[in-house]
Amino acid sequence: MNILGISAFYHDSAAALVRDGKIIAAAQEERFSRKKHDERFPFHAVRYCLHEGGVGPDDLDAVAFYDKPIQKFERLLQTYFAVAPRGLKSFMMAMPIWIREKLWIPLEIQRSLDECHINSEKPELYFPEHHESHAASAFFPSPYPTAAILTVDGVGEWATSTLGHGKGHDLQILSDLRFPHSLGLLYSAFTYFTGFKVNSGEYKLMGLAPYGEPRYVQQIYEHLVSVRDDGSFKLNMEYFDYMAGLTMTNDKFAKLFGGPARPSESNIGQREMDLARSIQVVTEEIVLKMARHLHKVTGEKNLCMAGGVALNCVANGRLLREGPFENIWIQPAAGDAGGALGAALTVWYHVKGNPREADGVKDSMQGAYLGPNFDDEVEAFLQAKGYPAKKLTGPAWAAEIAKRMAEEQVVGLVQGRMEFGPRALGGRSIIGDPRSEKMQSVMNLKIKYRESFRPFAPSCLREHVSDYFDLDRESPYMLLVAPVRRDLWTELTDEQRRIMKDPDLCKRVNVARSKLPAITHVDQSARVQTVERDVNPRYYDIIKAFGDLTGYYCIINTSFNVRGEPIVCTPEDAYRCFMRTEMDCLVLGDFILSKADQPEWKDKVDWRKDYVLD
Amino acid sequence: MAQVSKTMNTWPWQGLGKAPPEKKPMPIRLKATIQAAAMTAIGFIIYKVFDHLIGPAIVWSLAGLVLIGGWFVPPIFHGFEKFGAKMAYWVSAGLTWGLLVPFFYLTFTFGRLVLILRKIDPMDRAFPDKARDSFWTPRPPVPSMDQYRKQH
Repeated sequence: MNILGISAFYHDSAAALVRDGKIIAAAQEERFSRKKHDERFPFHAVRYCLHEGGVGPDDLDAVAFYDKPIQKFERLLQTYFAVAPRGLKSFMMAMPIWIREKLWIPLEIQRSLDECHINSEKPELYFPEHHESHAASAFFPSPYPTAAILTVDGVGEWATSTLGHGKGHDLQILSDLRFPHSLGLLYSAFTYFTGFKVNSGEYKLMGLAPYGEPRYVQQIYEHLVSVRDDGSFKLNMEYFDYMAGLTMTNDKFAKLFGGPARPSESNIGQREMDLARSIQVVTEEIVLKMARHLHKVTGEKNLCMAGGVALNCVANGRLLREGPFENIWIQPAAGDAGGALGAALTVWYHVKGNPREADGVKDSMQGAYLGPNFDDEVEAFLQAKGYPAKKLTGPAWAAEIAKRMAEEQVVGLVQGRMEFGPRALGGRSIIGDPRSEKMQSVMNLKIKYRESFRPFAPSCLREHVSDYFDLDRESPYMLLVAPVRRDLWTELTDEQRRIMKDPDLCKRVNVARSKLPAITHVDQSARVQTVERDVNPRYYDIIKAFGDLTGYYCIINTSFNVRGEPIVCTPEDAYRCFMRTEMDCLVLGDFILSKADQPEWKDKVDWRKDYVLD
Repeated sequence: MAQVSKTMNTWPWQGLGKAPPEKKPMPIRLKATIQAAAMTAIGFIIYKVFDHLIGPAIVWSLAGLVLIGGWFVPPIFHGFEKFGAKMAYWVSAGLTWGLLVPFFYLTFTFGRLVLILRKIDPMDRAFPDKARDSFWTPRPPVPSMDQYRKQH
């Protein structure tokens, strides 16, 4: 049975194909359309999934959309009833789109299938709830036969957080918190107020937090959020504007925090850093309380998580260290994109009642490598374009890449299937030497063209993870933050200590805090990805070769894109990004391209204008 | 001889991200002829319904200009097209605002009044709401799998 899952119309639209319970393909529309966080109907992603699965005209049995649009519409109308006569601008912006598109989802699906030459009359249509799709995306692919499930995001239909329980093929949502009381929206409000883009800049706020002090925590608890011991909470809507207006916060919020929101792209001050730290602390405390309550209710030792807030890997790391659960599994595409997968899995397991096998060890996400693979097409691509490249295979291939990294070259890596979810995990990554003191600022400013304060993440071999980090388990999806081991820290000089208090973040970033300075954040933590040979053998081989050469089985891994650009998908995207930046080397499947050998690259227009800054 | 089946799902990745090829535009003369014919017909309907000649005469004159423009003086025809597109935009914007703004104020403001009088807040905004020990809302199990077929 072929089930196509679709998420669309809010942000990060995506499609996923599930066949008899096995995940065949999943991809986000942005990777194909090249529009970051593309919310449009995922026509390209649908087409790719059907292609990958070899789905013929009469082979598609069901289509599952990741939420219930009419319930969402009802919530929207109820919101206007609650705020009128305010809310006109928001209403005028929302209604035409609802009337034109969002209320006609079955027709959109039919049109998309018709264009893919799929018989659109045959598949049954399903509409699981938004948070049910999240919960399904967290539980069904997890390794656990039974688990407690926690979903936390901005908002679905009404729910903003849910507690659930999964047993075999059955999944029950036990209770929920409802709009407008949302942890995701609270975090987004601070994202907006500190000058970052909502639904995009949340991870920057998380990265900024360690630079600040939690001096606003008390104010947040006193004025903004009322939290109970079981993790449930209410927001004080007098401080927020997202129900009626076009912004997240209002003047009262600004007054509480000593002035207006930081304008986008302006200097980040101490207030923003302290706000980032404070909301991070509050978020972690709420998630911990929710988890403790869920543990008490379900009695489970395993926890599965999804929803945008589950991408907060600092909170996840704390939950692992201080929380009541023995094991935690987080859906790598925890945001709305993962809803497409969850919707399809809901139909196969929960609705159709098919049995589910889980061995308690391996998940069924296949390392999140669920997108297209172009390795077999690279040679033809390079020949057609006339780009010089060196072909290497086997150990020589990995050794050459490792050697270049050890020489402080920055390497773009495109091999195997593309990742599903926001993280690059070695399929579409930029990699480098974590020992290099200059690498963080070189990669941020000359390769990614992004804010200098943002840290890079390490990929290390699973069996070596405890050599570098206080972490005793796998973290294959880069969703856990763990401290760098104490014995790797470097003793700071008085001068360095002084610099660490400098308001200029660039100066602080450049202080080497450990023997792996490029992946060590200012609070001596790192967002770890563990790599296993049976999941991604070629990526494993690169790290192994680097370790054999340098003694460190750990490298820098950041997504292959520039600021505002979706992660690259095809060899063409990768080559373009490679030539536009100061990357030294590009790996496309078996082929290694050196920047110095390439013909001159000229863009007709300023390519930076192609991407809206996130 | 084996039948060559139609390719089902060709996935042209090399063209991803590029704008789709533009449709071949209709020849200007054909377009002008169709538009002029349609305008003539509209003029005729106006004449039949209102039994008055001035309105239809204006429409027929414009139809004549469109036809002549399309065949012999393209700038005139393009001018008509631009004007038509602008008019369509403003008419649709006017209709949107003209219908939705009164709808918003009449429906939602009145609705809010009713909610206030009945002391109902669908958003449950009382803060800090100290009387309640928990804000979790229990969820009953989904009554039937048919629920998953519904959009609501």
